[in-house]
Amino acid sequence: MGKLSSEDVITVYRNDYDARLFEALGKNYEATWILMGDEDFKSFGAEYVRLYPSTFTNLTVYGDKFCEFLESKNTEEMILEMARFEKNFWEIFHLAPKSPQALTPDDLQNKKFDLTSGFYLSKSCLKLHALWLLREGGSENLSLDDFLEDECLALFKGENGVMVKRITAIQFQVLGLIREMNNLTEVFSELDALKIETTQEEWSQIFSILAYI
Amino acid sequence: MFGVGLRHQHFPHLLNALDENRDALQVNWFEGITENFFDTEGRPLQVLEKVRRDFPVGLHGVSLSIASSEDLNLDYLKKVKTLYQRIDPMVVSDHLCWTGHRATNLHNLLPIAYNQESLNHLIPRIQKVQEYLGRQISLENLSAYFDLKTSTMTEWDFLKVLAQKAGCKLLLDINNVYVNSQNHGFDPYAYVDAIPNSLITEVHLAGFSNMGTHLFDTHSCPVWDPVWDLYAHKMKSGLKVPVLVEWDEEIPDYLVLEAEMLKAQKIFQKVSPG
Repeated sequence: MGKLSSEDVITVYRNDYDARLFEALGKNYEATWILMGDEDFKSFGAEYVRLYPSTFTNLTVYGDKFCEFLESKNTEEMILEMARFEKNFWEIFHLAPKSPQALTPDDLQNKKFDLTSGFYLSKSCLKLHALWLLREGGSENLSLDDFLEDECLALFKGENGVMVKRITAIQFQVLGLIREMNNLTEVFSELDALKIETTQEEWSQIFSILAYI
Repeated sequence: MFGVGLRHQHFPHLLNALDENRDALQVNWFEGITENFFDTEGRPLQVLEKVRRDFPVGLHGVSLSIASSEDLNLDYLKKVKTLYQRIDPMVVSDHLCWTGHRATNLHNLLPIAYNQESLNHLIPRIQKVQEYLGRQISLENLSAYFDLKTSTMTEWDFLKVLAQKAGCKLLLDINNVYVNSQNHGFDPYAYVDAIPNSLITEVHLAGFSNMGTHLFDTHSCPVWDPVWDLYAHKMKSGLKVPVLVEWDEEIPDYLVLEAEMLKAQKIFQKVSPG
């Protein structure tokens, strides 16, 4: 054991820095890593670490621009969908728990529903949530064919953590309109104009989601 | 008091024990990484608060960057103070180091020159931090892989003078003393003997990795025997402060970590003069 050369010292610190940032990125995008495969994720991850030095005191939030970075690399859409899902999941994970509030008839007419933060809508050709839940088991024996199915999801904060609700394509469209327009009166008009038909059951589930907003 | 680092990998075990059988936990206290609770109102903070209801908690920072030549980061200190107010920690600490430049955080603990110029720089900064936080802080000796030619004092003399003049306390990391002693060639026993017990508020223990050319402070394995020996030697001197076992990489089951903590307790009971 002896003193390290100046070059060795720089290598020790540089490697440690790269490893810490890459590890943080990998933890925040575990399922994206599985979908991309080791080679691509390590290569893109290393480039991301070089391009985006950490300005955080807490590495659990490192990787906030990774989705945009992957977009700039013309990454396959289903991988981008998973990356967005993971980014939004962790953002919502760190929000305070929320209890559902009863919605009154007045709310339906006048309340502004802000779905621009703490809420995420996902539409994918993959069963993202089921795939994401398997992330800790690694990618061995994983067949993507088993997960090929159109899926819409709504993510929001509940009392005991992140709520991931599977929704219909119509509900996805309605919630998208609510996010855009804020209030239900305008949304109802828009649905009429677009001739979109909704069922009572679909609205019931939409209201059960809005109760958390 | 003997404790372990609070890590999210152990949350399920701890929550289950807190709900079902509190007495199954043999630790006396937990220590969380301060910054891990900054940007969350979610589960990490909920778990910390739940643990705090049953146990004393320490908060250990890694980004104060007290030795930086830049201004103190008031946004950072505000977050620290808010967390302290919320958790009411038993002990609070960070490291004697700098951690970045401008906005960039290197997520590493970088050493400084041990000389009068550094003392002149650090003493008023530590006092400002303590005044702002409204409490005394402890600074930990770090493991470093280089030293600076402009040092005129030993690390241990520097720490002693710094704590005495700044009015702060020291967190003695026994593993870091041993790692540095091997990497920089000094007697670790002279180091720990030179630090007065009255300045020490806490002891850390952890495992290092032998890289062949140097020892690396990875916190990825059990505490090594020479570190246990050094710990026993220091505790024999009558030091009675909270002791903590850290494990941050390749984190094992909670019970493995707790077994290390129990070993620290057993050694203390054997060597402490009472």
